[in-house]
Amino acid sequence: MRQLFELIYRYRAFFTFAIFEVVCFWLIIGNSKVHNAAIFNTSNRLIASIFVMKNEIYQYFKLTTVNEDLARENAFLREFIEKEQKRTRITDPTTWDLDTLSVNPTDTVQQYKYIPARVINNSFRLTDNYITLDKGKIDGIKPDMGVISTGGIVGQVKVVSRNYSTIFSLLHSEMFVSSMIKRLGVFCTTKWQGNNPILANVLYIPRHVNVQVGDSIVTSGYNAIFPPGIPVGVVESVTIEENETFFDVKIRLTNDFSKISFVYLINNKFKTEKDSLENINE
Amino acid sequence: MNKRSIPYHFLIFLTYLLIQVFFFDNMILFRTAFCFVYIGFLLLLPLQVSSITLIVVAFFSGLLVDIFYNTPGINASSSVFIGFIRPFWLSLITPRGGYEDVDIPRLKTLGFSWFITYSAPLIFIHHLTLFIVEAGDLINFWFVINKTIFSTIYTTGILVLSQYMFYARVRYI
Repeated sequence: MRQLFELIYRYRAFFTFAIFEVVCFWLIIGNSKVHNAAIFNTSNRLIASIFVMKNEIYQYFKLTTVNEDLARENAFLREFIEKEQKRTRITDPTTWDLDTLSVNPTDTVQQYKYIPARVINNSFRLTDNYITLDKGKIDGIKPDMGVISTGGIVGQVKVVSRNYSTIFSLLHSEMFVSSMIKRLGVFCTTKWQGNNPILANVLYIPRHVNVQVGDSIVTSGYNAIFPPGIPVGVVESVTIEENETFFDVKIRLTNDFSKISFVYLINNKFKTEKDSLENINE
Repeated sequence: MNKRSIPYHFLIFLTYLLIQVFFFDNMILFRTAFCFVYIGFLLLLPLQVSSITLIVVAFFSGLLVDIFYNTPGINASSSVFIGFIRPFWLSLITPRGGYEDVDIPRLKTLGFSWFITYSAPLIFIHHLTLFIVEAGDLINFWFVINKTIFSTIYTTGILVLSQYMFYARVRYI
């Protein structure tokens, strides 16, 4: 026994080292997609408030691009409203009258509610990237909510604290986004490839599908996290190996992750309904 | 390290941490070169620090950086490794006169070439373990190596530069 203690004492540095490395790897493994406590990440209040401070300095340099993005989005929404109004007026003459706008109650229930938030920290050069937002539990944010921005899909909420939330960026090794080829309606999965914040891979497009360079990839709306039709990327290259079943498709992401400043969190009001219905069927 | 200098070193660490988070977090060059300047804190701790203290300090400093990067354990594991091998490396590269009268292994006291021999390999090992653990697999192996090499040059450069900036009275004889 004494010899054992002597041994431990002589190699005490090594044993301390080993113990701390074990703790480190326990932390690393524990940080995978499990929702762990909000201590060791950026939704921690102290850490987040430091990021808010930092963001207040840096955001002045981004104002021009933020304004341009917002103006572009406004223009798009204006066009969209105009088109929608014209369409309903032609097909449905009753909507000429403003009072009859509330036609069918189920049509007017808003399924997706958008909560705006500000990005206070953003990484896009690592293998697993996260974004910190300045909205938390008291603003109605819950884990698993989808996050989009003007440019398209951004990520999914990971941890929520009282005032802040940390989200998985689309640039994360464990993010899989159910998507589809807009032109053909074929379903596929988008996954980031891990080293370039501009490009991503699209998986599971079978051989017979006529996918072409320039096709846009949008969310499918299958998983109740993102509404259907949110832009993800544009096909950049299509290749296929001799014996493979699926295409090797690379897309250029529509979102510039280095410039994200303001985002919308998506609250799907029918999510619980859809999930429980799907669980019954399983 | 006597008891009185603990608050001093703590302040030094906070400075490194804030510079890391506020500034070098955004200063990534050519998509590959990262600067983890906080490692300078571990490299520039006094030589008298015992190996166990060094490992413990390395763990907590790495963990604090991790919290800001949302990577719990990754920076900590690399820092602990550096804390573990630093004493061995120091004894391997003992300069001719030994470490007498040397408190902190600074560029000013031990010279440019010694400082590079001391810091660059440790920084390289730190970055290599960091990027490998962060990648999680070796699919992007060459990308990881690429990142490691450029980041090592970057971090070492910044560290040497800071040595000249803050301990400016280097006498060129």
